[in-house]
Amino acid sequence: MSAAIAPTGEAALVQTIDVPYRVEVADPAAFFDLANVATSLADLVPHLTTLATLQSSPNDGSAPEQFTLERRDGDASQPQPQLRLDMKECRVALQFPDELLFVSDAVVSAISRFMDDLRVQRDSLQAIQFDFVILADTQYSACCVDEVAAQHIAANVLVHFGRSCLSQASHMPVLFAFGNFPIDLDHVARTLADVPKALVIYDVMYAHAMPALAAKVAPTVRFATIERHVSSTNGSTNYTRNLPTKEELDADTTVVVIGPPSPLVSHYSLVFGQHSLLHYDPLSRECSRPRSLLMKRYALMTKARDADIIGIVVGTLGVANYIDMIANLKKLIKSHGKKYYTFVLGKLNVAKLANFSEIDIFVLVACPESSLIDSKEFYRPVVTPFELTMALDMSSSWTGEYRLGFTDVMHHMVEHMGDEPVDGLDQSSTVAASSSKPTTAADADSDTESDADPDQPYFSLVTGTFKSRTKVENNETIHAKIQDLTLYESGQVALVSPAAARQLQTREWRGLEMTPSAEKSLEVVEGRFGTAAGYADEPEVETGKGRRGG
Amino acid sequence: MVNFTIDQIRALMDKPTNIRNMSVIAHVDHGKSTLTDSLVSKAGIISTGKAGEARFTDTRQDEQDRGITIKSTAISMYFELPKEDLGDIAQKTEGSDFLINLIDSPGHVDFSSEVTAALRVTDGALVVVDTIEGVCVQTETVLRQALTERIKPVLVINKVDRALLELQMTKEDLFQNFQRVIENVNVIISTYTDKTLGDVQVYPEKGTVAFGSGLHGWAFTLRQFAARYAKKFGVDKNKMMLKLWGENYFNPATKKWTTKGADAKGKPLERAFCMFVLDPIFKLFDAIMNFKKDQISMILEKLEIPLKSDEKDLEGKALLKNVMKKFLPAGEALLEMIVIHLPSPATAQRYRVDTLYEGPLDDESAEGIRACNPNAPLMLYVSKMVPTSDKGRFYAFGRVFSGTVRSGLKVRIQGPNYQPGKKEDLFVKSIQRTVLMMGRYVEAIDDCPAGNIVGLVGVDQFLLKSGTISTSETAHNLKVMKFSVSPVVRVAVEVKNANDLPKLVEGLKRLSKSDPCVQCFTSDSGEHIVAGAGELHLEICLKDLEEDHAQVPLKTGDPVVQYRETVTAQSSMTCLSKSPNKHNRIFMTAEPISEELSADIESGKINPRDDFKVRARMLAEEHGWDVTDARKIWCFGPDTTGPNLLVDMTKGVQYLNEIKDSCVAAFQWATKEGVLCEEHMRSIRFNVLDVTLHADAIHRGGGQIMPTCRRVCYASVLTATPTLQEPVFLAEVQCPESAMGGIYGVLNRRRGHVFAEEQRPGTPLYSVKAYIPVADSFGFTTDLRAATGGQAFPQMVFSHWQVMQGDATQAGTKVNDVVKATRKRKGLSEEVPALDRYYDKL
Repeated sequence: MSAAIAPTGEAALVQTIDVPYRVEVADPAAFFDLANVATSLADLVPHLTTLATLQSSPNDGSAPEQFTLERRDGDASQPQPQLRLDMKECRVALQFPDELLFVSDAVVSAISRFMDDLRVQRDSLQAIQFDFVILADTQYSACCVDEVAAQHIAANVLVHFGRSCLSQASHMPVLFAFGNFPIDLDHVARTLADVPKALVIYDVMYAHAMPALAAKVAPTVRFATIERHVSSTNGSTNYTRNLPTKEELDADTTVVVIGPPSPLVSHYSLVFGQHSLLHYDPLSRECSRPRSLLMKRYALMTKARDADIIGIVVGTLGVANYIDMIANLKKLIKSHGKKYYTFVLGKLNVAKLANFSEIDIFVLVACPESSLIDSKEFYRPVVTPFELTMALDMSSSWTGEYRLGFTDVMHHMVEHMGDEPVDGLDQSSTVAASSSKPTTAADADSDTESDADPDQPYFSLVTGTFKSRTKVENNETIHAKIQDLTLYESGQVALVSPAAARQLQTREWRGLEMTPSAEKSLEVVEGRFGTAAGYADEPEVETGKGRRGG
Repeated sequence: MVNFTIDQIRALMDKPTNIRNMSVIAHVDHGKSTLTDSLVSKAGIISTGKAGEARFTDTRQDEQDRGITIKSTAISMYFELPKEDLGDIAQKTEGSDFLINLIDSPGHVDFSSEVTAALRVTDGALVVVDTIEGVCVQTETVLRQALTERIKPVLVINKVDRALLELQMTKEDLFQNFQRVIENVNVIISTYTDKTLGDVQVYPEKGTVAFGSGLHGWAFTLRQFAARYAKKFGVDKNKMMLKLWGENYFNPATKKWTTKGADAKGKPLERAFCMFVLDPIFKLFDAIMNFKKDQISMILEKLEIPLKSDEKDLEGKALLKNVMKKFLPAGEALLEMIVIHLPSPATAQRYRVDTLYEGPLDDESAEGIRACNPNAPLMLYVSKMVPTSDKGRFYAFGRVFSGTVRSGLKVRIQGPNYQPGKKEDLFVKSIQRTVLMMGRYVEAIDDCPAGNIVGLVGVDQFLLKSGTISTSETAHNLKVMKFSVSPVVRVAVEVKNANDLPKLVEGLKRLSKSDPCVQCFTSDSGEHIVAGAGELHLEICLKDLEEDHAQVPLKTGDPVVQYRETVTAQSSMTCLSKSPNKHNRIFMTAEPISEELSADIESGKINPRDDFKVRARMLAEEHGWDVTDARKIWCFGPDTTGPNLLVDMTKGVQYLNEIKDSCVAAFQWATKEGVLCEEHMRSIRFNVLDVTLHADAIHRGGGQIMPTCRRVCYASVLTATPTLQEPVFLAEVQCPESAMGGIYGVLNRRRGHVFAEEQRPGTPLYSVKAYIPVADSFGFTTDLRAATGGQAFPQMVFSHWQVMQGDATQAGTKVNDVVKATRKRKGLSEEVPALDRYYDKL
């Protein structure tokens, strides 16, 4: 049959961070190629013993429940334990997405078997005891490596199962087992026959089938192959997608994304916004032409331009460079006279962000695939760092080019930050990027405002009116200004923040009355017990579920 | 040759008593620009020969090509009034020279905002009415606007030549026709008149009505004829004027005046107006058009009209024009009327200050305006932006109401949202240059004192369309102009070449500046939207955008109509939504509010800033609300001013005041993006019936309440038979009887319905008034022309919102189709979300 290609609306691009994607896994060992994983793991072990990692001695990890944030603080204060060459135990964290959690048990027993076999073969492993821990319920998104969770249990190495966004992890050696997800190659090949000139981008779970597919389709179809690199220093693996550059790709090339309806699709609809896009879902065997999100993101960008107070939402604690990214965002926001707050909220939801109604816009620092949040239901929109960079620089023009990776975005930031140094980029690349700056400046020659003064208002495309460029002071600036605290007669200490005062003015509810009343103090009585979700003296809430909800 | 110098004008600017700021307003095609030419030619700016054809104030090429005015154009002129006329000026004057700042405005309804901007800076209006077409819809609109701005009108009945030449009216018919037009105008004036303005009706016998032909360059007032006959009859000029109008007859036999239409023997007498005023004109027309050579020279001699040798060879219309221009030069008649009867700034600002100034009427700014004092703090209103030859830059065009503006003066530029004491929308900058607007040209001047119209350089970067400029720190804003049209028709524009996007954005900004009414913004789906008052307005805006402002090739979508979401019944049940943590519940219902109340809110008669007790009384008395409910209105929405209300009807709920901010924010959000198709809501009252909140503050924070309140608003709408309101145009079409069938046919096809149809007395023309949904109005003009052989030309102006029949959630209804189409266009799933997405079971 010839695959029906129908343009679809929003439904095709509903982005959720976690996509339930059920597959039948009959033989986990074969499905995940566990023998291979075990070998890689074995290869990795010698590196572990020579590598400065964050892990402390293994016996620390005996009670993983006790590892909390204080534990990490303790780590920072006490000197790192010296590496021991005579490693006795190797703790391996196995990270599963929710939809694959059901095979975790089988995977552990299978991989232990393989390790036992290997131990027989290799002398170096003889002394080492392997300990497997299953990680479920990731803090951010399942596609990223959850390093924090792995560190909580003091794992030496992490194996990530299932779909991955291939973001580089920052500290820990990581192995990937994508799984060999089923795909009907003949059907794909028939679909691809309609688009002779195509670039195929596939989700990692279908990597196993791609060489076979390549043989079935026309030679004009290019594949964005996924390459595996094994680090020589720590033995960790990472993968990169070989994406052709804009110049290499002809304008009439169709970009075909093979994978479940995931953020991957929206990601590439943005990155290859100029090309027509085809999405093939191997599970439903449906082919659709999703609408590009580019215009919607453009609308968000224009909204971001009008924001005065920006919330930086940390959406990852694992992707390499995320700390630099946040630092750079702060610099960028500050240099444009806007105010920022940083939030670490875990998984995003509407209710969490709606608690901060004073924030005009949120910028999400997360892996490329989970940064694209459809913020329709959110009280304030959520944008990506790239969009914010574009928005803050008035002269920059939206050409339809889109970047999501941290390194790419930081290169872009270099062009827009002027003198401020950008963290996390080596000098040579900085120079290269800034050399391209004059071209963007030349584009803006139509801008007649070059002679104008800095507080001139700009034309806001959201409201269609002029908006003044108000400068909001950041907390550090305010704190630096307050040399001596003002003391009022009552003995109250006043800390003046004009922005906060203005926000408070607009509110009707300003908290409880702070003026001490003349009434006599009351006697102290015993309060109630329990947690806020349900105190001891409260009647049971009828929906038991609701107790734990939220 | 220009018969004045800029220095002369500048000198006159210091004498506010000798300034007349006036605009020319009328229905489209009634001859404003043509008539303006005669004044321009009198000032020597264009030659007399060109007057009537040049349309000097139509400065744009497309204005000349299409023959309609699109932008209002200002011109300053210097005139000297004959000494003997000075005595007739009722207000204070100094000397005999006058400065007239004239603004020619467009007549097409789509450009009404230009008229509003022109009226704001002027004190008097020259209302032009076509003899044959009479008072039309736009005449009424502009006249109403003028009166609400406290602008004094005088009337010119134009195109009298057509009545004579084409319709061959008799003298008495023509008189009746004149009287009818004057009556109609006076009816409108008395309907909208402002008591402080006094009697502003127009009377020919007082000299506030002129009759003439702009095309032929002649016009007269009774005053001129009275002056001629006063000598002959030896009576006072003013008494003579009274005799020359109305039921006054002269019996040539007895040489007696009478008020009866017949003499003692019952023989009908000729009306004095016909006998003394129309007769010479009719005779001239008759002699010239019928080539009665001998009579011509006789009449010319009698009327003391000398002809040059080459002019003597002229014949027919050419001769007629020439003779009439000499006999009754239009420029003189108009000038006389303007100078004598229109107020000077010194006179006008005394009574205009109350409607102009937002602040207290006894502060220094108000006093300065009232006295038109050039030494008081500067108060200047910028009413529009005029493009300069320098691409992307604009002159801020406005009127100095108080103080003096000069180059280099440091001023406070206050945008429309400025509030005294706050820094928002305020810039302190220097004026770079001041200029005098002279139609196609500008002339630099050093400074400009109170009472004058001026152009400013260097302000355009800080004001988008209009604003107040002041030097006083305590100055409030001058009132923002209220337009009679609203931008209800929208199109999406996009660039053909993605790299041109920045130019489009810059172009949208410039377009937005250059037109008082157009709106440019991006929609949530990322489209660039241009919204205008009508099809013609949009067409002109898009052409300007492509050719002048952006200068890149553009793609334009189909026109799109904005809808409003509303409800038609009370919610069928009390709706409940629970917060994400299930600990808080909001109970709510929705019900419609009356159209009158919505209109009152939209017009600002009832607004959120009113004292709540006063507002509650008004709601109770005029709209039948319960007083206790009316006192508990939490807010208006969307944008805190819209026609939807959130009413607190809870009893004794603890912590309610803590969540009010969150509820208000959620309500603003919900009313801005309705549940049906994310259009604004309109005419919905939301009643908060009950709220249960968690005892612990952390569990009832904004994050829990805001999404919940939004959801329950949506649930309430979905249970209250939601539907859409669509915008409706009021269309007025004038046409001969033969074309009526065509009009009805076209209207029927477009869901229009005729509600008034009348024949213009004395003419073969019919005037049809109809309502037509904006959605069906695209291409109406073209269709109508085709169906009537080009004889009918409609004027359409936004009239009201009309509820569409049916339930928007029921498939198969027309309104449901509209909802689906809108959702699809916005990239939403086509089906309206089901109730259970927003409604939670207890």
